[in-house]
Amino acid sequence: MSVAIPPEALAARFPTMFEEADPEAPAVLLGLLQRRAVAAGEALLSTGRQSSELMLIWEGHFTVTAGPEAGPIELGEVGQGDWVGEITFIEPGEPSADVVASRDGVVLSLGHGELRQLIAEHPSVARSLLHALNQDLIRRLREIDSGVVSRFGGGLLVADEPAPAERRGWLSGLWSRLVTGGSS
Amino acid sequence: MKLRRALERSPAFADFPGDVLDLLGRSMVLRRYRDGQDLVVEGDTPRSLFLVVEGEAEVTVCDKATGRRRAVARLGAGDLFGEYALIIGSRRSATVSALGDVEVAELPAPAFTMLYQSEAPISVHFQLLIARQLTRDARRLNDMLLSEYRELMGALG
Repeated sequence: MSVAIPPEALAARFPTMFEEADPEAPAVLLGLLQRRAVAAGEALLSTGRQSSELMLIWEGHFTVTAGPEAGPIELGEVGQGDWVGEITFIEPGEPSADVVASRDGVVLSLGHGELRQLIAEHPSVARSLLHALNQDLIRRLREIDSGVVSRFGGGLLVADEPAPAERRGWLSGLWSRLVTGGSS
Repeated sequence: MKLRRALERSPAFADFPGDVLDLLGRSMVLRRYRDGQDLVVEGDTPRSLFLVVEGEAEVTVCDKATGRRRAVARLGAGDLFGEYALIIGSRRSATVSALGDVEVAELPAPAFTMLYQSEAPISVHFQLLIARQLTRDARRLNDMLLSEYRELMGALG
């Protein structure tokens, strides 16, 4: 079921996704997006459950949490004009965080299969969509990467080691920037 | 032919169409490095994207706490590296050195930028390649943060 939203409204709701996009991108995407109503308390993404959808938040607020079951950490909120699920949209798998509706909302979802379809049938639209997702991830990784951590694994390399009492806040700040882009 | 075969074998380029691999093959240069020679040096300005064609290389970073170099990864045939600094415009975040003789294909930064930012439809394959690398980096960083957080919570009791 396609979405009864004018292309201009989609572009206006998600300006960073469409600011450098092919002019036909909003209309093409609207033909592939699925509208989904989400009730308060419903999970959009759950760790431990496979996902492959990019979800554009049309309306609503969603709480993002991550961490061990025994002590999850709240990383922030995302809402109208944000998107979630881009990691598993590119490479399907388990999401790294739980995203739960804090009130009723609406999301527009695009599956990994539609990405393959876009690449085959509308490469310039797929290019601009991927470019927007890449730029957002680059911004997040660049903020975190600025002299604080190594990307190559083996543990975090800390430029200025925070005092133990401050370490929890420091970790959650980094994590929030990675998972939500710093939204709160 | 050797470079084209290396591109075909690399998982990074697994679903690239033949004409895009041809273009890449024409844009890349094969280079050999001897045991211990640095391919990239931490802190340097990035000049190329690399694909390991033959042999192995070791990734090391400077541990700021001790000042010593720490090995964090090993790269082999088919592995791609060096794209991150090119994309985000940062300096090299690690040193990569040859472990024995190693042969790599290098894509110079201007050619990389042209392929990555081009309006041409073929650039969608490069955007997807980079998107996959970025998502893997984000996942790896998330796992690191989760591990650190678990350790911290354990230490705090």
